Amino acid sequence: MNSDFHYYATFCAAVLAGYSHEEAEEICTSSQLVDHCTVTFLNKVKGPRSAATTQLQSEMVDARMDLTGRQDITRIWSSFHFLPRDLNAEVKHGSWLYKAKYRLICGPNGALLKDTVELAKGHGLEAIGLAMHILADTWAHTYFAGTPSFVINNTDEIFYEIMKEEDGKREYRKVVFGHNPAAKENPEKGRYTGSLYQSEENNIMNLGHGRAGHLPDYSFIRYVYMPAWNNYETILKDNPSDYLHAFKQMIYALKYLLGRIETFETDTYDELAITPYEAWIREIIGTRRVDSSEDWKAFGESLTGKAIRPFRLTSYEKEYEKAEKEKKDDTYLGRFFLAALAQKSLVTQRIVESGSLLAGYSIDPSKHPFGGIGDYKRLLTRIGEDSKL
Amino acid sequence: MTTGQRITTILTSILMILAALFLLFLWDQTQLSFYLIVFIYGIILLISGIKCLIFFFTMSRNMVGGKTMLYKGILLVDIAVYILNLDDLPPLYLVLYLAGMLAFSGVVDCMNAWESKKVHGRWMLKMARGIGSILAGVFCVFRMNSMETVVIIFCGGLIYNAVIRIINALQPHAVIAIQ
Repeated sequence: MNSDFHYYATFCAAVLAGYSHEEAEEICTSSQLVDHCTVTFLNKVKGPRSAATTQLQSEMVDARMDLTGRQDITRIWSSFHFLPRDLNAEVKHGSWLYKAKYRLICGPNGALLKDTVELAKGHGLEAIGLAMHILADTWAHTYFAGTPSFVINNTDEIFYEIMKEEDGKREYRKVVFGHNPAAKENPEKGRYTGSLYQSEENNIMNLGHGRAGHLPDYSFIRYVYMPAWNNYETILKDNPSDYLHAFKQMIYALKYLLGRIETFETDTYDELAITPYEAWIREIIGTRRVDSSEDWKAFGESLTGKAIRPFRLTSYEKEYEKAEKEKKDDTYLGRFFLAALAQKSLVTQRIVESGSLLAGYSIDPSKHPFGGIGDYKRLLTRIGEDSKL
Repeated sequence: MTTGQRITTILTSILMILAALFLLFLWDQTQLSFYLIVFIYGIILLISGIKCLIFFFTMSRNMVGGKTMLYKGILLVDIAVYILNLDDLPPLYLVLYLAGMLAFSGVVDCMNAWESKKVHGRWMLKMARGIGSILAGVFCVFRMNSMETVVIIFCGGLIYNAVIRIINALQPHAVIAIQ
């Protein structure tokens, strides 16, 4: 998903869930920030490096691909963009490593999604925005894993876009992938940019949906393809349907986080809230363009009657940089960083519990008081302070 | 990284440094050092081929189009056996390979530093590393037929990588579980 959904559609979902215009702006800023919080950004604002929620292309190319480097990559991408659907999935074939990678395949409505949404409750609008980004991506990034893996994430020549569907008959067009990252996407001609074929299992080109280009990020597209892991069977990816589900689930989750619903359950959607606007929303999602920001923005502004400010971080950066050391965690960015650390800790712990060390390993602070990455100790300190209040 | 992995990483890194120093101290017998390096590259290629075959039997035979890994593994083992059986290899090939590798990693480092600079992040160390790698690549190009070049560049790279691995192994990597 791109900023059209993570920023503007998230704003709309927050307003429909009952948040004010200003609160919805804070939530969608945090949701979009997940795609900007790189180590480079954290170095710039002097934030904790472990709070990175994404990586720049140049950071990925430069990343160490040894064990700890791969664990670092998996922690970032599995925690925030490819939340695993079923860490205990039954896999009948392959070695233990194959099974561990297979279990990282992303999908909606997994147990980890419930944990993620519940973790955000009561921890501010920043944690809520972050959780909404993860929730939305479980729909867009379904069938890909947030770890470099040739055997899971590779795609082959069988990749067709469904152009028309009438009376059960489909009209297909072959999708052509180029490999120049600077080239513009051309949905009219069916030409997109994807990562290069690399047969090394842990090559960075095999991370997430790189091989399928940005197709999972476009709401209008429906396509059929053959993923590496699916035993020579094709899969239909219906983005318009998935994006609508994501939007309705976001509203439901946001109502829970606002306290309007007691519990959060997976596979539950707020159908009622969108009923008056369904035709409009379907039109935005189904329109054939790579960026629907303007349409979502217009919809959002019609809901509150106020202009939505563009995504900008300057004021938050200044607030964080100017804050005294002890007060940094009380700023917008500080709270976002803590939410990111908490999410990474949760996902890593769950992956470790499933018997895999692909995302690194976690330690119990009560048993290892001097171990672990320093940045997480800030989170522990903060939890200690909060529990004293 | 578990304690066992840390110990293994540190021990292999120390071995890498010792091997590099040994090759450098054979200074007056450059030809011997050069052929030891060719032998090491041959062994690396052989291990890659065997790894490829293991990868096919444990992982890629379960994927669409995974059989290519079987062919790749056989081909790599074949090339490795060929290299290990060579009586004579002109240094030019190895120097060109090293120059290409250094130039590529140098350009990547510079690009990364440039991206970092654009967002006002830290960039000077990375840029310096990138320029250093490119200069080393250029140095290789100017001394194409020299066995000494191969020895210096190979040993320098080995020591640099070993030091980075030791630093990495000594850093904390565990995520603290929040209950």
